[in-house]
Amino acid sequence: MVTVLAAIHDSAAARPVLTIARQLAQLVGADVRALHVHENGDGETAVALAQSFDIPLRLVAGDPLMAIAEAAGSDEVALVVIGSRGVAAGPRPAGHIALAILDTVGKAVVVVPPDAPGTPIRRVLVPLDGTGASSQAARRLLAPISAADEPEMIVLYVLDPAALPPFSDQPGYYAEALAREFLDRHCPRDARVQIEVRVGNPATVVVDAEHELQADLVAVSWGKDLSPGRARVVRALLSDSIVPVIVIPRSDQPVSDGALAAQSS
Amino acid sequence: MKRSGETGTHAASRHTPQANATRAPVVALPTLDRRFEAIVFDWDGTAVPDRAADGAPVRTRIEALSAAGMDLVVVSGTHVGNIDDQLRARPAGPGRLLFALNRGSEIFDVGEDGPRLRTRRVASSAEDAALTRAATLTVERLAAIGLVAEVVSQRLNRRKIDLIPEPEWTDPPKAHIDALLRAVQARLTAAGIAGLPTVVALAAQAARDAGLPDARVTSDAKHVEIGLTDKADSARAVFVDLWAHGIAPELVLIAGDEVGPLGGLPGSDSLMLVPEARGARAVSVGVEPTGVPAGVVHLPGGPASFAAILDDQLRRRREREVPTVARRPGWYVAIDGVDHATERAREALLTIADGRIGTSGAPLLTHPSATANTFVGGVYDGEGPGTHLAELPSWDRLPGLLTGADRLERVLDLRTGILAERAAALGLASVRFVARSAPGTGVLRARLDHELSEPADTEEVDVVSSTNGGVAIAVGETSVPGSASRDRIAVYEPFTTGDDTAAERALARVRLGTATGFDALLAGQRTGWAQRWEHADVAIDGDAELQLAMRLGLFHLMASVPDDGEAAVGARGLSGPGYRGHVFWDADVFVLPFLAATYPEAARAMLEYRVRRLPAALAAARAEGRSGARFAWESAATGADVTPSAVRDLSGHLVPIRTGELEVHVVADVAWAVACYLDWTGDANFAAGDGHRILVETARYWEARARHDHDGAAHLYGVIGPDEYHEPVDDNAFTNVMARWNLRRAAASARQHGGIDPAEIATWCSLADALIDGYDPEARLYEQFAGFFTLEPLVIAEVAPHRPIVADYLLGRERVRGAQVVKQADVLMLHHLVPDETAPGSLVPNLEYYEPRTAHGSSLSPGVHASLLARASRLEAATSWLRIAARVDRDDLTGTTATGLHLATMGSVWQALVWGFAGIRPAGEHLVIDPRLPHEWDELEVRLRFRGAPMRIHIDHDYVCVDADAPTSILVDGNTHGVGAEPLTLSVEHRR
Repeated sequence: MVTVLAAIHDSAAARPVLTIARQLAQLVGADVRALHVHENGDGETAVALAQSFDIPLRLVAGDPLMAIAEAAGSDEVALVVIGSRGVAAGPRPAGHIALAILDTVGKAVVVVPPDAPGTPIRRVLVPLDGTGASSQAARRLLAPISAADEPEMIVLYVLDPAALPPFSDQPGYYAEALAREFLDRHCPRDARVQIEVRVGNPATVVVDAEHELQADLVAVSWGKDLSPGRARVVRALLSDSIVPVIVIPRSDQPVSDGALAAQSS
Repeated sequence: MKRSGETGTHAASRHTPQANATRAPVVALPTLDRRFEAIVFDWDGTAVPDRAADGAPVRTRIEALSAAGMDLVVVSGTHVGNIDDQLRARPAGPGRLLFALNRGSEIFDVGEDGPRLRTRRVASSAEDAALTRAATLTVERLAAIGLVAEVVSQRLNRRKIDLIPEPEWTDPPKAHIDALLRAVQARLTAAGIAGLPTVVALAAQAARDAGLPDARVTSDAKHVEIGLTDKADSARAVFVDLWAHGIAPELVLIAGDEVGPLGGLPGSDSLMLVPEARGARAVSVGVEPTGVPAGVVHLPGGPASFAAILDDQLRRRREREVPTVARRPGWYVAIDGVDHATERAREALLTIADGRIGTSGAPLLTHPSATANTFVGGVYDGEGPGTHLAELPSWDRLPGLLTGADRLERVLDLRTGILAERAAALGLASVRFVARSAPGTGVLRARLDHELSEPADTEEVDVVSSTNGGVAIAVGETSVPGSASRDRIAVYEPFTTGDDTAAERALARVRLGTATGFDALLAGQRTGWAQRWEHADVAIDGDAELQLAMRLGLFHLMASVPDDGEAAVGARGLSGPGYRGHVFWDADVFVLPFLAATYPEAARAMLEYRVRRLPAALAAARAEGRSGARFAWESAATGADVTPSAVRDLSGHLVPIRTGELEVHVVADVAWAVACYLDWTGDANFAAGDGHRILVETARYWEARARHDHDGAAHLYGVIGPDEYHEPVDDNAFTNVMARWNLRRAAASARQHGGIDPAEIATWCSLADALIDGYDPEARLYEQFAGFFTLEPLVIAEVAPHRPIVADYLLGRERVRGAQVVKQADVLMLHHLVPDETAPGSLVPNLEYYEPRTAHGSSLSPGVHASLLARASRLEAATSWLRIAARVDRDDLTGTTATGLHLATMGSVWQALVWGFAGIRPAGEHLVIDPRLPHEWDELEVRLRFRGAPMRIHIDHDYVCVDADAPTSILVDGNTHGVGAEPLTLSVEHRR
């Protein structure tokens, strides 16, 4: 059975994590299980919230990072949902723990801000840079859910000014043609997807677009490279996004077009 | 779009194979294991054992192969009487039978009425006398060293000397060649002559001494022959002829019986292996006592083996074997596999079309990365700006799914417009084309081994409705028992509302196509396309990559426009849905010139589209409160403007679009297209009729549009020029000078053809003189529009990370609008289109000023600049921009080739090569040739038609050579030269 693992803190911040975990589980047809790693205290709030959501909770003691990584390593777990700053207390800046978990877990991780609205996920924003690696990761996510009526999928094609196209001819038609081909290249066939194109610094553009387009969830891929200057979009989203962000690790495994077509049909 | 259809299956009569010709012995032909499209063969010893043999067996086979579409060519030293009396073949086609006889001096076409002489080399009296003298000298010199030889015949253009004039060797059969060789060698040895090569050398020297420095001297062991021509001349002419009919050497089998050396000399049939035949397969059926040259297949057995070869070819055709396409360097595009990211762009590159229908080169079987498109020229759906080319079901689909493991391979033969597709793992082999000989018809032959059932004979009609009509699509499929091959004929028949017979017509055309047959349609396809290329090719010696890219462009330009009727040529032709199929100035200014210069019928069809939209243009002007014709910036079915009023740009912002309202230079562009066509063709009827009407009505529009200031100067306010970064502007130099040109050309036409009030003509002329053009004689610069020089002096070449670049995204729309940043050639378009309307000496200063300020953000820009830089002798920069223009679709530089090919860019590449580098332009009755050849190119050859005369213009660094099929006049270095029956060569060495 495929499982969504919700790693929750012993605070009210666990509520949006459980909300999002449940919604995502419904979208992908999975069960939800919760995990609380307690360093101090008894996890009373976590237990109460899990019960209120009717979600099984496992309590474990130890280092949160290690415990979550171990639980996420189970073959059953397809997705991990965490709070952006509720997983562990400490002096590190917001998003840093989340990044550490992303780096450790190796699976898709949803990072939920503590003040994330608990509203249903109706619109998902998927930023892509037009490279095969980013689109492959996104297509893994899009394939199973983009054929459904909800949520609405918006692919955001971000053009870096340094890699601007050489020609645009008639701008309207060019944008139309570029968008059409971009979707064909990077999204599953017949997927119900809209496209928005923006030019600019990807880290800035994605966060701005999230607000502008009123997304309920942002899905972004990353190369699991935390060296300086890398993962700028992921860092920006974890820092500034007001909605949950699903971060999908890129894989060396190619995505079969045939498989995608089958999944999305 | 609504679709309604009726589908039916009927049991059409199956093809009945003809009774086999006389059975030949079964010969294993492993190395000839494919279908050839032509066989070039020797007669004596190859097709027949000797002159006395019965020709019926080979006649039966030749006529059957001709009926199955194969070309056959007899190459022989003898005369037509000997061959025809023995063969007596009277083929009805579609395959052709040629006789290349008299050892290279004659070619006959053989049809149902017998042989008809096509060409004969006629020796001058001096040459004739020299041949006789050479033969006499040879006999005398042989006698002097002790060998008795005789001149035995004086045939056309040659003399034959018998080296063994002994009764027992009067007429030795080919099968006894070994014995003959021994006997001749014995005679030579007895005379102290080493061998036949010595005799040949002696005869060649005698010919030189007689005044024939280039005589052909050959020997068949018994004879030595001195001639003006030989079998190599036959072969050269034959392979040129086959190439002109779309048959590449790779598709040809050469058969002889003396290919290997004979008596120390090359075998007589080896003379057929000329450089023009490189790529052909050669076979010898002779004894070949010393073996055959490397690469030649040896199937001994004489005429029996040859008959087996013919039978094998006949069987392949009767079983509907899928033909192969040639992979001739510079003439094909091959795509291996299916790459998800690039597939749709590749499909656009592989589009096959005839201007009536266009079908993308998607794999025949379904693949998730592929998009199968078919469009019909001029058939639109939707209303207003939403009008788009109707998307129609494709006729070439086969059942099944294609996966990555199937090793798909697609090859588009540009010479013939045939797309071949193979997938070894599926047992798929196919060719498809849009038939040149049957407009609007798709033809497919496919074998698909994985199908569970054999193909059946079916007919199907589907009617697809679109705005104001639709298309009836009829598809017929036939098969033969025991074969997995199917032949499919598909017809797209457009109709307008109220026409309810389209389905019937489409079905009738399918049945006609089926009756014509695949092989006849294939032959017509090859010939039709090859003939287009004969008058359109541009050959670049020294840049293979550019050569292929350029030919790919010319192929699609030719494929996108029909031969007659009207041609609505959208910005992407019929290769994709991009730009919704709308017709822009691209068609008039960038696509039409190539066709006017190479295939005027197609250019005329493009103009017919404008002629039939003249009422809409007149109405549009009236709607503006003006007289004359206001052609639409974007046009589709009706001619009404279909430009959207607002679009979302790349940044998602809703941008108002004012081009439909303000980019009025299209009015002059249409008039310019009329003039371009007239300048190349001299079409008097069009000049006096519809062409004149367009020139007059467009001039009237400018008269109504211009405003005079208090100084009497005339202005065009509120327009958009080709540089769409700045809008609206006043007195755009391009618009104003094009309008000026339009007024003057209309005045000239009116004076010539009459019917216009002289006062109106005078008004046009005075308006033309009064129009502001922004030219500063001191700086020798045109100001692009009023106030351009006051904008921020930004040189995009100095700030952009690269060019071409979309400057408005780099710098922002507002910054670009306020700066001297140009999207594409604007002022410089004047030097490109109407150089005679620009100030003398103004090209270089304007090029130096505007080029660095140009972002080249339009794909039209690089080709225009390449052309002008070539005119300015800046050849390094010119070739650099030319290569970018040539790569736009080939390398998908825009990222949008998937939605269709950039036809106008392809046209700009031709313009750069022909106008820019070759410097070829009409000037009244003369054709100006003023070449600028980059040092890295060795030669440039341009084929075109000027005033009805097909011409081949060969340019290298020292000479210009002009070969014309009809008398014409050229202008080189200011001097006029008449070109007559013989090619004219002029030195341009002084330009180095």
